[in-house]
Amino acid sequence: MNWMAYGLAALAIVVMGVNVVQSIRLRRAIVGGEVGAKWGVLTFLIGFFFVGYLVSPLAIVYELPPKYLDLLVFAVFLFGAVFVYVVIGIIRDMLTFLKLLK
Amino acid sequence: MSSLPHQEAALQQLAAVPGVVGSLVFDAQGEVVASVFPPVFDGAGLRTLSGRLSADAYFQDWLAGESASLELRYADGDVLVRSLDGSWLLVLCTAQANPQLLSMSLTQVVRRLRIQAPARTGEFPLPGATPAQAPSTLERMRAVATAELGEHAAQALEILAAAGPKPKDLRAAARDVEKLTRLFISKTKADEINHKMREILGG
Repeated sequence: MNWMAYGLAALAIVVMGVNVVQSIRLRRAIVGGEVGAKWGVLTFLIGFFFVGYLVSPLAIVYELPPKYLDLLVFAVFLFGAVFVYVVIGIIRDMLTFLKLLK
Repeated sequence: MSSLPHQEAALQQLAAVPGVVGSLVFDAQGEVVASVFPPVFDGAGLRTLSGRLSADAYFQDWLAGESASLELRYADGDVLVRSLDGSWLLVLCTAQANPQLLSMSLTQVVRRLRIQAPARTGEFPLPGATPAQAPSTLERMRAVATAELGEHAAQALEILAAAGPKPKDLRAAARDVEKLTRLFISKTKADEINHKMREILGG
Protein backbone atom coordinates (compact mmCIF):
# COMPACT_ATOMS: atom_id res chain seq x y z
CA MET A 1 0.00 0.00 0.00
CA ASN A 2 2.86 2.32 0.92
CA TRP A 3 4.44 1.84 -2.49
CA MET A 4 1.24 3.01 -4.13
CA ALA A 5 1.24 6.11 -1.89
CA TYR A 6 4.86 6.81 -2.76
CA GLY A 7 4.07 6.36 -6.45
CA LEU A 8 1.17 8.81 -6.27
CA ALA A 9 3.35 11.28 -4.34
CA ALA A 10 6.07 11.00 -7.01
CA LEU A 11 3.54 11.59 -9.77
CA ALA A 12 2.10 14.59 -7.92
CA ILE A 13 5.61 16.03 -7.44
CA VAL A 14 6.38 15.71 -11.17
CA VAL A 15 3.09 17.35 -12.22
CA MET A 16 3.48 20.13 -9.65
CA GLY A 17 7.08 20.65 -10.78
CA VAL A 18 5.83 21.22 -14.32
CA ASN A 19 3.20 23.63 -12.89
CA VAL A 20 5.94 25.60 -11.08
CA VAL A 21 7.92 26.01 -14.32
CA GLN A 22 4.82 26.97 -16.32
CA SER A 23 3.63 29.49 -13.75
CA ILE A 24 7.04 31.18 -13.55
CA ARG A 25 7.25 31.37 -17.36
CA LEU A 26 3.78 32.87 -17.58
CA ARG A 27 4.60 35.31 -14.77
CA ARG A 28 7.31 36.78 -16.99
CA ALA A 29 4.76 37.31 -19.77
CA ILE A 30 2.34 39.21 -17.52
CA VAL A 31 3.25 42.87 -17.22
CA GLY A 32 1.54 43.62 -13.91
CA GLY A 33 -1.71 45.15 -12.72
CA GLU A 34 -4.35 43.25 -10.78
CA VAL A 35 -3.92 40.14 -12.92
CA GLY A 36 -0.15 40.29 -12.34
CA ALA A 37 -0.67 40.54 -8.57
CA LYS A 38 -3.10 37.61 -8.59
CA TRP A 39 -0.72 35.59 -10.70
CA GLY A 40 2.00 36.33 -8.13
CA VAL A 41 -0.25 34.87 -5.38
CA LEU A 42 -0.99 31.88 -7.60
CA THR A 43 2.71 31.30 -8.27
CA PHE A 44 3.44 31.51 -4.55
CA LEU A 45 0.70 28.97 -3.79
CA ILE A 46 1.95 26.63 -6.51
CA GLY A 47 5.47 26.88 -5.05
CA PHE A 48 4.06 26.28 -1.57
CA PHE A 49 2.15 23.20 -2.75
CA PHE A 50 5.27 21.96 -4.51
CA VAL A 51 7.30 22.15 -1.30
CA GLY A 52 4.44 20.44 0.53
CA TYR A 53 4.32 17.69 -2.08
CA LEU A 54 8.09 17.21 -1.80
CA VAL A 55 7.96 16.66 1.95
CA SER A 56 4.67 14.73 1.97
CA PRO A 57 6.33 11.28 1.61
CA LEU A 58 8.11 12.02 4.91
CA ALA A 59 4.70 11.86 6.61
CA ILE A 60 4.63 8.17 5.70
CA VAL A 61 8.31 7.56 6.43
CA TYR A 62 8.11 9.08 9.92
CA GLU A 63 4.55 7.86 10.51
CA LEU A 64 3.13 11.26 11.33
CA PRO A 65 0.59 11.08 14.19
CA PRO A 66 -3.06 11.29 13.01
CA LYS A 67 -3.68 14.66 14.71
CA TYR A 68 -0.87 16.28 12.69
CA LEU A 69 -2.01 14.46 9.57
CA ASP A 70 -5.53 15.91 10.05
CA LEU A 71 -4.01 19.37 10.44
CA LEU A 72 -2.04 18.86 7.23
CA VAL A 73 -5.10 17.70 5.30
CA PHE A 74 -7.23 20.68 6.37
CA ALA A 75 -4.36 23.09 5.68
CA VAL A 76 -4.24 21.67 2.14
CA PHE A 77 -8.03 22.17 1.91
CA LEU A 78 -7.66 25.81 3.00
CA PHE A 79 -4.84 26.65 0.59
CA GLY A 80 -6.67 24.77 -2.15
CA ALA A 81 -9.74 26.92 -1.53
CA VAL A 82 -7.62 30.10 -1.67
CA PHE A 83 -6.07 28.82 -4.89
CA VAL A 84 -9.49 28.29 -6.51
CA TYR A 85 -10.60 31.76 -5.30
CA VAL A 86 -7.59 33.39 -6.99
CA VAL A 87 -8.11 31.37 -10.19
CA ILE A 88 -11.76 32.51 -10.32
CA GLY A 89 -10.57 36.11 -9.85
CA ILE A 90 -8.17 35.79 -12.78
CA ILE A 91 -10.86 34.24 -14.99
CA ARG A 92 -13.22 37.11 -14.07
CA ASP A 93 -10.50 39.61 -15.03
CA MET A 94 -9.94 37.79 -18.33
CA LEU A 95 -13.66 37.90 -19.12
CA THR A 96 -13.65 41.63 -18.36
CA PHE A 97 -10.71 42.00 -20.72
CA LEU A 98 -12.53 40.12 -23.50
CA LYS A 99 -15.59 42.32 -23.00
CA LEU A 100 -13.39 45.42 -23.29
CA LEU A 101 -12.09 44.20 -26.64
CA LYS A 102 -15.50 43.18 -28.03
CA MET B 1 12.96 60.96 -37.76
CA SER B 2 9.84 62.12 -35.91
CA SER B 3 7.21 59.44 -36.04
CA LEU B 4 3.65 60.13 -35.01
CA PRO B 5 2.17 58.14 -32.11
CA HIS B 6 -0.33 56.35 -34.36
CA GLN B 7 2.47 55.28 -36.73
CA GLU B 8 4.57 54.05 -33.84
CA ALA B 9 1.59 52.17 -32.40
CA ALA B 10 0.74 50.59 -35.75
CA LEU B 11 4.32 49.38 -36.21
CA GLN B 12 4.40 48.11 -32.64
CA GLN B 13 1.24 46.14 -33.40
CA LEU B 14 3.03 44.60 -36.37
CA ALA B 15 6.10 43.83 -34.26
CA ALA B 16 3.91 41.67 -32.00
CA VAL B 17 3.14 39.30 -34.88
CA PRO B 18 5.26 36.14 -34.54
CA GLY B 19 8.06 36.12 -37.09
CA VAL B 20 8.12 39.88 -37.70
CA VAL B 21 11.62 41.23 -37.08
CA GLY B 22 10.85 44.89 -37.66
CA SER B 23 9.14 47.39 -39.88
CA LEU B 24 9.52 50.94 -41.09
CA VAL B 25 7.64 53.59 -43.04
CA PHE B 26 9.59 55.71 -45.49
CA ASP B 27 8.57 58.47 -47.86
CA ALA B 28 9.35 59.30 -51.50
CA GLN B 29 12.46 61.26 -50.44
CA GLY B 30 13.86 58.16 -48.74
CA GLU B 31 13.35 59.58 -45.25
CA VAL B 32 12.45 57.04 -42.57
CA VAL B 33 9.18 58.38 -41.13
CA ALA B 34 8.70 55.72 -38.45
CA SER B 35 10.63 52.63 -37.55
CA VAL B 36 10.35 49.75 -35.11
CA PHE B 37 13.41 47.56 -35.41
CA PRO B 38 15.57 45.81 -32.82
CA PRO B 39 18.64 47.88 -31.78
CA VAL B 40 20.91 45.59 -33.82
CA PHE B 41 19.59 47.31 -36.97
CA ASP B 42 21.26 50.70 -36.93
CA GLY B 43 19.36 53.76 -38.10
CA ALA B 44 21.95 54.68 -40.74
CA GLY B 45 21.57 51.30 -42.42
CA LEU B 46 17.79 51.61 -42.49
CA ARG B 47 18.05 55.13 -43.93
CA THR B 48 20.42 53.88 -46.63
CA LEU B 49 17.99 51.09 -47.50
CA SER B 50 14.97 53.40 -47.71
CA GLY B 51 17.02 55.96 -49.64
CA ARG B 52 18.09 53.40 -52.22
CA LEU B 53 14.60 51.96 -52.63
CA SER B 54 12.90 55.33 -53.03
CA ALA B 55 15.59 56.48 -55.48
CA ASP B 56 15.01 53.45 -57.68
CA ALA B 57 12.83 54.39 -60.65
CA TYR B 58 11.48 50.83 -61.03
CA PHE B 59 10.51 50.73 -57.37
CA GLN B 60 8.68 54.08 -57.64
CA ASP B 61 6.98 52.89 -60.80
CA TRP B 62 5.92 49.43 -59.59
CA LEU B 63 4.75 50.56 -56.18
CA ALA B 64 2.95 53.71 -57.19
CA GLY B 65 -0.66 52.62 -56.68
CA GLU B 66 -2.61 52.53 -53.44
CA SER B 67 -2.71 48.74 -53.26
CA ALA B 68 0.74 48.03 -54.69
CA SER B 69 2.82 45.48 -52.89
CA LEU B 70 6.15 43.76 -53.27
CA GLU B 71 7.42 40.56 -51.68
CA LEU B 72 11.08 39.61 -51.72
CA ARG B 73 11.71 36.05 -50.57
CA TYR B 74 15.09 34.95 -49.25
CA ALA B 75 16.31 31.75 -47.62
CA ASP B 76 16.35 33.32 -44.14
CA GLY B 77 13.32 35.54 -44.41
CA ASP B 78 11.07 37.80 -46.43
CA VAL B 79 10.88 41.52 -47.09
CA LEU B 80 7.39 42.85 -47.73
CA VAL B 81 6.67 46.32 -49.03
CA ARG B 82 3.19 47.90 -49.16
CA SER B 83 2.31 51.23 -50.70
CA LEU B 84 0.80 53.86 -48.41
CA ASP B 85 -0.07 56.46 -51.05
CA GLY B 86 3.16 58.44 -51.29
CA SER B 87 5.08 56.49 -48.70
CA TRP B 88 5.79 52.80 -48.13
CA LEU B 89 5.68 50.29 -45.35
CA LEU B 90 8.59 47.85 -45.33
CA VAL B 91 8.43 44.74 -43.16
CA LEU B 92 11.26 42.31 -42.47
CA CYS B 93 10.17 38.90 -41.24
CA THR B 94 11.67 35.48 -40.76
CA ALA B 95 10.87 32.52 -43.00
CA GLN B 96 8.90 31.02 -40.09
CA ALA B 97 6.29 33.83 -40.12
CA ASN B 98 2.77 32.59 -40.80
CA PRO B 99 1.83 34.09 -44.22
CA GLN B 100 -1.92 34.25 -43.50
CA LEU B 101 -1.49 35.88 -40.10
CA LEU B 102 1.08 38.26 -41.53
CA SER B 103 -1.16 39.18 -44.44
CA MET B 104 -4.11 39.91 -42.14
CA SER B 105 -1.94 41.97 -39.79
CA LEU B 106 -0.42 43.88 -42.69
CA THR B 107 -3.83 44.73 -44.12
CA GLN B 108 -4.94 46.02 -40.73
CA VAL B 109 -1.77 48.04 -40.12
CA VAL B 110 -1.77 49.52 -43.63
CA ARG B 111 -5.40 50.56 -43.12
CA ARG B 112 -4.51 52.16 -39.79
CA LEU B 113 -1.57 54.00 -41.29
CA ARG B 114 -3.68 55.22 -44.25
CA ILE B 115 -6.74 56.27 -42.26
CA GLN B 116 -4.79 58.10 -39.62
CA ALA B 117 -2.21 59.66 -41.89
CA PRO B 118 -2.77 63.41 -42.06
CA ALA B 119 -3.86 64.67 -45.46
CA ARG B 120 -0.89 65.73 -47.53
CA THR B 121 -1.15 69.38 -48.45
CA GLY B 122 2.24 69.98 -49.97
CA GLU B 123 5.35 71.41 -48.47
CA PHE B 124 4.18 75.03 -48.43
CA PRO B 125 0.74 76.16 -47.32
CA LEU B 126 -1.48 77.62 -49.99
CA PRO B 127 -2.35 81.32 -49.68
CA GLY B 128 -5.29 81.69 -47.34
CA ALA B 129 -4.93 78.17 -46.07
CA THR B 130 -5.76 77.66 -42.42
CA PRO B 131 -2.93 76.64 -40.11
CA ALA B 132 -2.58 73.01 -39.11
CA GLN B 133 -5.54 71.83 -37.07
CA ALA B 134 -5.08 71.09 -33.39
CA PRO B 135 -5.16 67.38 -32.66
CA SER B 136 -8.64 66.03 -32.03
CA THR B 137 -9.77 64.73 -28.65
CA LEU B 138 -9.35 61.17 -29.85
CA GLU B 139 -5.85 61.91 -31.16
CA ARG B 140 -4.89 63.39 -27.79
CA MET B 141 -6.30 60.34 -26.01
CA ARG B 142 -4.33 58.08 -28.34
CA ALA B 143 -1.20 60.08 -27.63
CA VAL B 144 -1.74 59.70 -23.86
CA ALA B 145 -2.27 55.93 -24.22
CA THR B 146 0.86 55.59 -26.37
CA ALA B 147 2.99 57.75 -24.08
CA GLU B 148 1.87 55.98 -20.89
CA LEU B 149 1.75 52.41 -22.12
CA GLY B 150 4.54 52.42 -24.70
CA GLU B 151 4.93 48.96 -26.22
CA HIS B 152 1.80 47.74 -24.39
CA ALA B 153 -0.44 50.36 -26.00
CA ALA B 154 -1.77 48.23 -28.88
CA GLN B 155 -4.93 46.99 -27.10
CA ALA B 156 -5.70 50.40 -25.65
CA LEU B 157 -5.36 51.95 -29.10
CA GLU B 158 -7.73 49.34 -30.49
CA ILE B 159 -10.32 50.27 -27.88
CA LEU B 160 -9.91 53.95 -28.77
CA ALA B 161 -10.07 53.19 -32.49
CA ALA B 162 -13.37 51.38 -32.00
CA ALA B 163 -14.89 54.26 -30.00
CA GLY B 164 -17.56 56.43 -31.58
CA PRO B 165 -17.11 60.19 -32.01
CA LYS B 166 -19.65 61.22 -29.35
CA PRO B 167 -18.31 62.46 -25.99
CA LYS B 168 -20.08 59.66 -24.11
CA ASP B 169 -18.43 57.07 -26.39
CA LEU B 170 -15.03 58.64 -25.77
CA ARG B 171 -15.67 58.68 -22.01
CA ALA B 172 -16.63 54.99 -22.14
CA ALA B 173 -13.47 54.22 -24.15
CA ALA B 174 -11.35 56.15 -21.64
CA ARG B 175 -12.91 54.10 -18.81
CA ASP B 176 -12.18 50.88 -20.69
CA VAL B 177 -8.54 51.86 -21.31
CA GLU B 178 -8.18 52.73 -17.63
CA LYS B 179 -9.72 49.38 -16.62
CA LEU B 180 -7.49 47.49 -19.05
CA THR B 181 -4.41 49.23 -17.66
CA ARG B 182 -5.49 48.56 -14.07
CA LEU B 183 -5.99 44.87 -14.84
CA PHE B 184 -2.87 44.16 -16.85
CA ILE B 185 -0.28 46.94 -16.56
CA SER B 186 -0.32 48.82 -13.24
CA LYS B 187 -2.64 50.66 -10.91
CA THR B 188 -0.40 53.75 -10.91
CA LYS B 189 -0.43 53.98 -14.71
CA ALA B 190 -4.20 53.44 -14.71
CA ASP B 191 -4.66 56.38 -12.30
CA GLU B 192 -2.34 58.50 -14.44
CA ILE B 193 -4.23 57.65 -17.64
CA ASN B 194 -7.57 58.27 -15.92
CA HIS B 195 -6.38 61.68 -14.75
CA LYS B 196 -4.98 62.74 -18.14
CA MET B 197 -7.98 61.49 -20.13
CA ARG B 198 -10.37 63.27 -17.77
CA GLU B 199 -8.41 66.46 -18.44
CA ILE B 200 -8.74 65.93 -22.20
CA LEU B 201 -12.44 65.13 -21.94
CA GLY B 202 -13.05 68.09 -19.67
CA GLY B 203 -13.68 66.32 -16.35
